[in-house]
Amino acid sequence: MSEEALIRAFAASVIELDAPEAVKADVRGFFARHGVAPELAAGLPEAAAERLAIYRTMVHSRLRAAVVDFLPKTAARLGRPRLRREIEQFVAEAAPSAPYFWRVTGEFLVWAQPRWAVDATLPDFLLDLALHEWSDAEIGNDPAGGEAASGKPLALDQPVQFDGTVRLRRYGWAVHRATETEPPPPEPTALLLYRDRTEHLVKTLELTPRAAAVTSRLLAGEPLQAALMGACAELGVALDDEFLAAMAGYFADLAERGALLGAA
Amino acid sequence: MSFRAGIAARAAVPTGVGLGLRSTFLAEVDRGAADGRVPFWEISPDNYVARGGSRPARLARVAERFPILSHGLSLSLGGLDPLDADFLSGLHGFFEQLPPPWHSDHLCFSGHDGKMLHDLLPLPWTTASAKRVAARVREVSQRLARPMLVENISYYLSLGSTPLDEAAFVVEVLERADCGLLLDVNNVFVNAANHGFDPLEWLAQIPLDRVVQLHIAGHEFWDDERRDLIVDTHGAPVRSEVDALLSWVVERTGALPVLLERDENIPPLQELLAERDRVDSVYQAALARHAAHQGDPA
Repeated sequence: MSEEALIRAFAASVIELDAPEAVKADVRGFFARHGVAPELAAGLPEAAAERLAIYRTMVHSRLRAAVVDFLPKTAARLGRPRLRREIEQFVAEAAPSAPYFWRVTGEFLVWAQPRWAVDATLPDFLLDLALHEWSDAEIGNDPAGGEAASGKPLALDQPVQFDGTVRLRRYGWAVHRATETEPPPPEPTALLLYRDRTEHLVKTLELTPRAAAVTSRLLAGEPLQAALMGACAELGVALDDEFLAAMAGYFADLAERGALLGAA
Repeated sequence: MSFRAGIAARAAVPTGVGLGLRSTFLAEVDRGAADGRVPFWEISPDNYVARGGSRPARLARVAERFPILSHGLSLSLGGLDPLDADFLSGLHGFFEQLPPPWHSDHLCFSGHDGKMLHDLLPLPWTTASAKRVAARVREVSQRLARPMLVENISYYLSLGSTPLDEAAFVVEVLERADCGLLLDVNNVFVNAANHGFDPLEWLAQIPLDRVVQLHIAGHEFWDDERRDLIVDTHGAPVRSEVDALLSWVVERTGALPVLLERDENIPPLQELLAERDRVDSVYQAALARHAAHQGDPA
């Protein structure tokens, strides 16, 4: 139908990578190629090409601004021209699909992740930095969190209950120490993130390798004793008093923060 | 049930000049910084549905003290893709908690072929288009279990030589969908300026008995170098020409909820409240003239 073809052609002018050149060269031809009847395309106003370009700029700028808002350090590293090209490519190949604007950046990262992972023109740390920056919004807005505690003390034969926002993230760089100008140091890094139950702010804890190994197993639902023993075996260390004391201190800290709620 | 009966069946509907509840000052409002200064807040549920953190609790506390109106951006009422069932379900659940007297969204499409473009893109003004959009508005109203309003948008390109003009298209959708109009007088002004028509002639075509809510906002030039295109940015104070359109409508309709929109260059809350007070004085003066026309004391 003609009216549907008009909508499809308009959308294509915003979405397709080569639309700017094609629209500028022959806007009526562009509409005709997208199924708009020639007599209807002929009725487009003189300024149609310019106005379509303005709409494209508005849509892409808005999406780009969302990415800059949530990934400021990543965006600074990419630079404006590269980010603009990334957004154009994203819109053409995938585009956001959720109706929630705040999720645009997460959808952009899902698309960017496999591309950036093999893109030698980008800094090696960029993907990790971007994922870490997005964590703040992802966890800060997670519908989970603030669950009632089971009220049960930790028990060796039971899994534990974390707050629903607790996440363990592993990176090849200490991304939490990056600044707008300084790159993150190249260090294997494990971070525990959670949303504070009172202030609703996302907090980040840098974990030791053994705390990370135990946390990973606990988050997977292993009982406490199995998680401790499995972590020690994984790291090749003894499950001795020093290890247990360190883990007891770690669990007490998490409990005080409201991130660890007791036995599940 | 007609849309009027649907609205009348709801809880008391606020009137006067309200503001959009933006994240930049949500915490301040939660702490009481606007208590007694605003008759209602308008929210975009798209920013709250399926989202945790501080927002839900803050909104719940604000909703205990103020009426809340709901205005969305993402339904893509004119889109060709099927309506998003999960999104509608999320909205329905959210409204059960709130609950606003109606929900509104724009006469536009916002995405295509599964791609959500997060903007208000214009529709062809044809009867076929009006029929299709009206059917979707009815379906949304049914699935949200509340009346729907549609909002006229700012458009920067009309899609070809269509048999209807924008006002006729809006009227056809309103009548076919039996829904209300969220009349954005700034959009009327912007379109009139950009496309060279008289905004009062446009307004004269609109059945004012279908106007349930008004939006008013500031606008800016697309480019300082080229001042021949005005863009509805919601990023500047309201201009006197737009105040005049607000007055024209309120003189004829009487009391309505009027929303002062500000989404860009958002000033500190107290400054925004002062702008609200200024628009309210325009609104109150128009309301007094409306009462005088009716033979009632203001």
